[in-house]
Amino acid sequence: MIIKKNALYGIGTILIVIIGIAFLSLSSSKIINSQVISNNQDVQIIKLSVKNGQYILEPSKVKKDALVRFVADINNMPGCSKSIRMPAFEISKTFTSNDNIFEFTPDKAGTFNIACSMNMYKGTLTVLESNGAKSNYVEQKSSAGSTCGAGGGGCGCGG
Amino acid sequence: MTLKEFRKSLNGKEVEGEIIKTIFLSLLTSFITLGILYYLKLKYVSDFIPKYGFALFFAILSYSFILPAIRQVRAYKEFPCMSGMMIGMTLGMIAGFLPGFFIGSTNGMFYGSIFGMAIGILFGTWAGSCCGVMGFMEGIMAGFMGGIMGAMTSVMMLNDNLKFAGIIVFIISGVILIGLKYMVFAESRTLKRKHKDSEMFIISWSFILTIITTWLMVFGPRSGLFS
Repeated sequence: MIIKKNALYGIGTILIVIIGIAFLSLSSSKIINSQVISNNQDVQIIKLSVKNGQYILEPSKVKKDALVRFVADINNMPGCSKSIRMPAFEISKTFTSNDNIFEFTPDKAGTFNIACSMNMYKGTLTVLESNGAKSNYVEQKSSAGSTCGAGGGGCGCGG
Repeated sequence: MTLKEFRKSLNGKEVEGEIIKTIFLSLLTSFITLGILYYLKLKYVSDFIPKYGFALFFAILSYSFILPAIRQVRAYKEFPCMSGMMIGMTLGMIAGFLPGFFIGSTNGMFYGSIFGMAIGILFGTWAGSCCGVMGFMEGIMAGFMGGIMGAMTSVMMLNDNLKFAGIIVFIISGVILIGLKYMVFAESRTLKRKHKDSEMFIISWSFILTIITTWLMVFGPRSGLFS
């Protein structure tokens, strides 16, 4: 009787796990690492590089609701700086020498933070209103320090 | 003491015979709790499943592996201090690492570390204190290290196959916990059962851990990378 009971519990456990996995996989997964290269002539191109432990965006101002293309200068991006995150736009992207372009359309204006995936290299991107006016919104900087020590490149992040 | 005997004991009437039932009860409680929360509140959270589903699912699976080990250790209560050190260390480390890893992947390193350390130290010292001060100290040390390491690992892997890493970490931790259950079984052959936790022990712990983890992941504070 005990054997049968435990077998039932085992089957029940497996069933619960299978249902959980099915529920997870059936739910639409959001792709945040997408990359679409458009031929739009109005695209706003930003050159992304790193200098003195900071992200340098040239230019650092773009307009809202217009396509923005990041072109990463991969030779000037050491270690984990190749892996960027912009939480405000749910962007998460790792650049490589063969994949150094990323496009997105900012749908809100303000000054937004950009950081590497370990919160070590940091920078800001200013998104102007569609008419060119500057928004007063400034995204709050992370109060926490970098994940792997002060900005200079500790614990192997510096590349 | 062979693995065959351990496998046989999983179907027996003794402490080890309750392990599968405990895993089942923990999973059932956690998923019912999560299901109720989902239909009451979480389905209104935008992108709930894509954002938190994976981490939450594996956190719940982790608890369902950790709680039976706690129950098994509590059933015998007293072990030699060497075994106690191993119990405290293993439970502290795994109970710290897994929650730290999954909370770290949604809330950042600081909050992942704090939560991982809290759970790891709590379970590590609780289990390790069965067997003297050395087990207790191992529980604190392993919980502290596991919590920080779990959160750090997940943040370092954010853009580098985090989900696969999560599955691998979970499988390895599961194997370690099965090893611990076997060790406790092998060490307890000369011991008699001294304590029996009711099913409410597992149900209430699963409920509490699921509620706290869900709240922390969805509504809790998070670092700048995740805000």
